[in-house]
Amino acid sequence: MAYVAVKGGEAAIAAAHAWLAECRRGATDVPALDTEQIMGQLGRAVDRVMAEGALYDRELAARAIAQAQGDLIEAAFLLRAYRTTLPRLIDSEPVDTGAMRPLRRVSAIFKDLPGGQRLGPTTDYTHRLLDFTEPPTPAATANETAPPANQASTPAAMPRVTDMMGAEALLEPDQAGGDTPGDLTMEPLDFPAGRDLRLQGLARGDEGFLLALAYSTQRGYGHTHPFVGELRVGEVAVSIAPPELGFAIEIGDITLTECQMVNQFGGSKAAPPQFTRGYGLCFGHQDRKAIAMSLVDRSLRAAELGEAAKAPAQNDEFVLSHCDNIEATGFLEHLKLPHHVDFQSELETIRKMRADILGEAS
Amino acid sequence: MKGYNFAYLDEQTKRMIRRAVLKAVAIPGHQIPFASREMPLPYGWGTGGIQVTASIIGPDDVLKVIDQGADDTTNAVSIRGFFARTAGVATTTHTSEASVIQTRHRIPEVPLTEDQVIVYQVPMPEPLYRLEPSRAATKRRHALAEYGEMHVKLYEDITRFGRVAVAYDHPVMVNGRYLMSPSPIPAFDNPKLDHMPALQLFGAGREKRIYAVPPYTAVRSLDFEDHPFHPGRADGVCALCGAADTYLDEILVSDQGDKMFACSDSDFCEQNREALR
Amino acid sequence: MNTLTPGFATPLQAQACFRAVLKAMSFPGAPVELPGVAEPPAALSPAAAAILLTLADTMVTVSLPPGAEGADWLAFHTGAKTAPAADADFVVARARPALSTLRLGTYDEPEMGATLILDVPDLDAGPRFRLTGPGIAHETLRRLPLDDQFLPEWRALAAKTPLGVDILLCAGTTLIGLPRSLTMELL
Repeated sequence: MAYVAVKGGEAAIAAAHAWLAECRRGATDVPALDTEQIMGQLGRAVDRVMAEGALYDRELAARAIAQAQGDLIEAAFLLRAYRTTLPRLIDSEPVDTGAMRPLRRVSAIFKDLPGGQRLGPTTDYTHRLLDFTEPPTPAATANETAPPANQASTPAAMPRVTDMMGAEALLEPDQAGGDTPGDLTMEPLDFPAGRDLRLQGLARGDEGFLLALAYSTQRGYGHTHPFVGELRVGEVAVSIAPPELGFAIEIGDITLTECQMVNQFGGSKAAPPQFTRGYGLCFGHQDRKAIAMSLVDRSLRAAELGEAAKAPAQNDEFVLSHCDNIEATGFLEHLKLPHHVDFQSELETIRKMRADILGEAS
Repeated sequence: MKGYNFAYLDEQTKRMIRRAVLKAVAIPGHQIPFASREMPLPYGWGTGGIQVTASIIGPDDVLKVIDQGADDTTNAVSIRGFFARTAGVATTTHTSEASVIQTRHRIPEVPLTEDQVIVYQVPMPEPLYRLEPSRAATKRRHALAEYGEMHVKLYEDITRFGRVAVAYDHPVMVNGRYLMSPSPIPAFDNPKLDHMPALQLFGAGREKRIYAVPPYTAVRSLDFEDHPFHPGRADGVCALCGAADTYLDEILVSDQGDKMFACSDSDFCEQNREALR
Repeated sequence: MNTLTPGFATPLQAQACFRAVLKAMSFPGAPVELPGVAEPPAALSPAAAAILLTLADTMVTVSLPPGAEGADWLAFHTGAKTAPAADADFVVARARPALSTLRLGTYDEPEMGATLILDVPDLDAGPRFRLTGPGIAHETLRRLPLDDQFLPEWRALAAKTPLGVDILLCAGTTLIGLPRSLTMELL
């Protein structure tokens, strides 16, 4: 059989892209997805893509989800690549989550507290019964009366639980320092990494990876004795202070989820014990991500707090090198690329080694 | 391409990479960290090579992109298309016509010249990574030029298999100082790195490292006096052009596993076939 | 009233200048023509000005020869901050500073060693040297406009390799690169 040198890579790619476009659209007698629908009705997906894409823009995230056919890591990649092209204008002032008017705010450490336990639009107490009604009915338990469709009253500002505990000094102080934090996107990570860069890495880290690491700590791989001091979800204002103005101006609001974890107390006979802290913060409404992030943050402080650091979640190089799912999937999926040159050299090596052994045996 | 800077990257990123490249050339074989950007191609698919090429390339350059030695493999097509779109630069499949060659896993058979730059795509820039996964630890090894572990590993291969078992990405010593990964090129290509007249740049996007081998620099594959380095190659001849000294791809031609060989370097093979006509 | 001279007209000029600097560092000792800046500030040669426009920005620090004009020009065109010569990433000088007083890098991060941009009147002057090492096929023999103290200082740094300083010698629009990897001997 005559072998012809293979050409046609270009044509193959063009054909693959055309087929992909058809699959993405699906049956043309079914209405195409609308970004408004995705933003409005798949909000949790949008939040996750914004967090892992490291870009707060609900519409762009919704667009990316549609383009990625619902593959959320692919969507986050689209957003991250778009982010690279945007000019960096200015760093904002730190957001004040204490000034948040939370639509959701719960604390596991006190039965009641100023501002109250406010459940907000949570799935926490839903019964996971797949709903077959059209249109879907709101989740309800047997004795519930239907609650108002949305809580129209403006939530009040609520002081942070952790600030309220500060008076008795039972909790280590918030470590916010005056220094300008490092910027993970401007310098590659070096280890050991400072807490500022660790938190930035975790904030954009894969939810599944952080979930698994956090879970591992709960099961004994570096247990940190965690209690949710406070979980709050709501809008915060973003401000910038342009040098020309000399003062700060608000430019918009974003929704954030913040988790303050209260952990294993440190201290000794000499230093009075205090509870220690873990911190999680992410875009949108993502309880799971914020809680997982706070557990992993606390675990990564093991060395700083004088704890033996043996578990995976306590190893900053391990956690931070592997939590970016865009890097991870890129390298994982690159295994699909041609590797026949290297495989050929392995074939030759193994053939020669076998010939040496089998040749000697005969 | 409307809305994007020349070759996609913004000028600040290019400057950052250009500064890193110049230091890399001054310190042959040393890996320099850089703030790698997300590119429209995935990490692991050549973003480091692409960022280096995008930072050096100009409108007068002629670009060749190869993967596994061939211009027509899918990812090479994709990357070449990326530069044609974002830089409008002339592209070629002929090695001798190119001023910049971006490559994955092979060095062209035709010797390169002082007027050329070859940019390697590198998946794992750290030559010690299989022995020590922590970069914090390997950084110290390089600082102290402590490379004993690698010698031990190679020697263990010899005692176990009778030969060094590293078929590709065989580590090299550069300018007598730094242990370097030449990227996953087959051992057959290692000798080409030594005293090459062209500048060799290495980009690892996901791992965020750039390194370089200047022209005419000593690059020595790790070996032992009693077990010298052996650049292996299939014992065969190209079925298309008859070459007996090029790196060959093995191609299965029947369900029973019959095979034939063809030059991995598609341009070199084509030039040979032209010459034979 | 301060009138600044212009920088590059397009980013492609920076690319062309960068390739020239890359060539100078890749082939040490070989003069390279730079597409210079037409009207550099008085403190700088066209080559030195072009190099700063190409490589300096808000992420690096520069030490300049004394005089306000250069500093204003640098701040306007690049946003780079000035710093003392002992700390700066790029040191621009007409009078050669002692190399050991510049940043040399560390064994972990030798790339932190400074780049010295040395403006000289004439590149074809000074003692004759033999140059060997990376970038040079066998050896290069040429004059270099370097003072008597230079070689002992260069040798002292070479003993601490890979720490060191990388030098760009500039005269008008011509450039010669002396990376720290270069071995130099007096003829």
